[in-house]
Amino acid sequence: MRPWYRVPARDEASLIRQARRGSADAVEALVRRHWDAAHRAAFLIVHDAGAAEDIAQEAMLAAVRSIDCFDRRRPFKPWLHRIVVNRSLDWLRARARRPEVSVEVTGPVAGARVEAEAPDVLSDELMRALAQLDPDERALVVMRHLLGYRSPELGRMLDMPAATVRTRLARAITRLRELLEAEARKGT
Amino acid sequence: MSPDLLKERLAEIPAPQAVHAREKAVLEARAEIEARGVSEDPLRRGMLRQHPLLGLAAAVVLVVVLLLTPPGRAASAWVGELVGIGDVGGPPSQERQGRFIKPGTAIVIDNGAAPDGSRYEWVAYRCGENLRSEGIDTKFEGIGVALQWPKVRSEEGGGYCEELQGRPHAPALTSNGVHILPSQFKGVAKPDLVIEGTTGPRVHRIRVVYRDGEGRRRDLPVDFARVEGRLRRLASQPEALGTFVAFLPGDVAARDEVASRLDLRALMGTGTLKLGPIGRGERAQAREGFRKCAHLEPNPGDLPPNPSRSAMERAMGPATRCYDRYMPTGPLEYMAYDEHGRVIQRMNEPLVTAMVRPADTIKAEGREEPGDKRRRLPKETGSDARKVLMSGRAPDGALYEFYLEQTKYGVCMQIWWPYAFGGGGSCGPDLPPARAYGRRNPERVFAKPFGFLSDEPRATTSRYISGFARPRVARVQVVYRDSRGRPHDAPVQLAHVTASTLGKIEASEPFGFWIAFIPRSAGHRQITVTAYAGNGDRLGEQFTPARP
Repeated sequence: MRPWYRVPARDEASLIRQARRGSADAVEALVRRHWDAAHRAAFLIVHDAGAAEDIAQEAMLAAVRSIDCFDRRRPFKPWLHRIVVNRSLDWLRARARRPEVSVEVTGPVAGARVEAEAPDVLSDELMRALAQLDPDERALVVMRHLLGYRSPELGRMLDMPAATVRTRLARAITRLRELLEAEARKGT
Repeated sequence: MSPDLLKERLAEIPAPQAVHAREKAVLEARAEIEARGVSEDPLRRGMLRQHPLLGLAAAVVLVVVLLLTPPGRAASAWVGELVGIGDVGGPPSQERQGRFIKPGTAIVIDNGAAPDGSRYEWVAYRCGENLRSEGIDTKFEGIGVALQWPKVRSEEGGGYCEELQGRPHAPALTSNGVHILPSQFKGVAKPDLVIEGTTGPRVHRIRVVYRDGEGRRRDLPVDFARVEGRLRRLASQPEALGTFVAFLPGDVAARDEVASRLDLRALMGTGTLKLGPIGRGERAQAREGFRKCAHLEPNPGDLPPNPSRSAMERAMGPATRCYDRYMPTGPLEYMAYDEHGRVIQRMNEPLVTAMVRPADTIKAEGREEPGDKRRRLPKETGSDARKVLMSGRAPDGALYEFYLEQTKYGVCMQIWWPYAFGGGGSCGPDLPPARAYGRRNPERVFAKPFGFLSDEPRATTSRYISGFARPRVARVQVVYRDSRGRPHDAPVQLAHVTASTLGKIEASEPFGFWIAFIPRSAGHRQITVTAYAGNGDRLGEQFTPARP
């Protein structure tokens, strides 16, 4: 996997500056640089391959459209991830309001074009356990443990105190652990 | 599972390859930025809207990219499917709560993001009220537009319901004011500010010009969106409208004291007002302006009864010109342009803290002079009946009348001054109002203030406070304290109201109504209201909270 999170900040700021001046190449570089993380985060939250593609695309386009609004003093990545997570949660809520579309929580991912190596058992169990968390809890777990944000950063991104983030994360991890243990018992 | 293992496992979950989607996103993003053109200054991102030909050319390029190339066609089809929650044309991310708002009618008419990434949505909704089932002849249908910040628990909020029937054309420009960015309301030392408003059907462009502390002017980027065609019909709007949003960076706002000059916290009760050197200078300038210009304002007795807007403008002309010359100008100016680029309206955001006119520059005119004509009180729309409940004079001789009016909004109870401008009151479905005796143990309350200590400097030199009393209350004593803390009795007038005195106006029970006058020098110290029975027995006591 490419180390997408190790982008030098100065390089990023330069790309954003060029994008603001209308450079399509800079925009392309930004999209390519952040695509994998944005798409993976969306996929782990919504558990739907097609929706994850749409959400990642939509978030990229929203970020490009608002690039002039973006505060250059702040890092770009959390801003984009916040858009991705918000859109993912919106999508889940919209889906919950349309009960005719069933939510895939236990089987293989619907519509996924999985071209990578076959998932191992642990990853499969983790995916199923994640799917059973509440959407907000799932988003927190993904943002903390996949995207690597710390509680104060998450608090700023989600407009809640860092202590609340820590409490909710602890609750989510406890539940995730219980779900994984249950999955393991089922497996044996 | 340890955090490290969890992170490792999350990273190992095989996400589907999304090469096609990524390439589509790249194509879309490139098309978006190419269609936008080159921007010299990020602050001028509204350039396409300001240069219609450039905008048209860019739009043509975008249409060509979107419609003529195969990936473009695929991408435009994808964009077409995106009308979901929070998108333009779709429902808002957060349903607005409110007594008047009709559930399920809200539509997003524009959206965007603040500099810190927090999302905003302009939402149009239908609203209305029908109290006929409660026996009150009040029914109306209306519309409203509000700026919402999904997922931000805001300290401030707003919205309105404008009655559709008999609605005049919307003004070219309506500022909803300047606010602290809701996502930065707490815990941010120098929060960004958001400037927002709506426009009428003729407006095709808005400029927001910021004047910094040293007088330099600069255009702020404006997100202006017109709502017309299908979206207008979807949003139940009777005519085209526009919305605009602009942002002022927090460091600039803090440097130029914008929040205190516009009183963005104390006015909303969410902080205290502390003026800096710029604000203090403006207040001094405004005080001088009032001294020079206030005497040019027309005498109400010289005006015709119920003067038209143009008559008022003519009468105010000398004072307006004087104020324009001597008063400080606010930091924000708005300009609305029509489709031909002509300015059709401009306005300044009022400097709230400077523009509070010092009471000692206002002449109280509530006491009639020989030859003064009594003003005629205009009737409320749909007024069925009106009854004067109480009439009397303030300590300086200003004549006042409290009257009740049955309207389609319920019963209104208002004070007015027959020889001076001023007055006001409240309307509601119940008389006496459900909270006339407070929320906690109202059965134990005999007389209580309803509303705040009011100031009508154009009518009287005193402040006044009023409220309701139980039928068995024969006397109300109101005691205020002077600057040394010594108690004084305020002059009080009490009137008892029964069904026979109300005529056509409906009340749920008999009640008393009282008014007391307090000298302005007493400030906003605590006031004691004591109710006495006919035999002199003390029935109960209430206090107003002291204000600094």
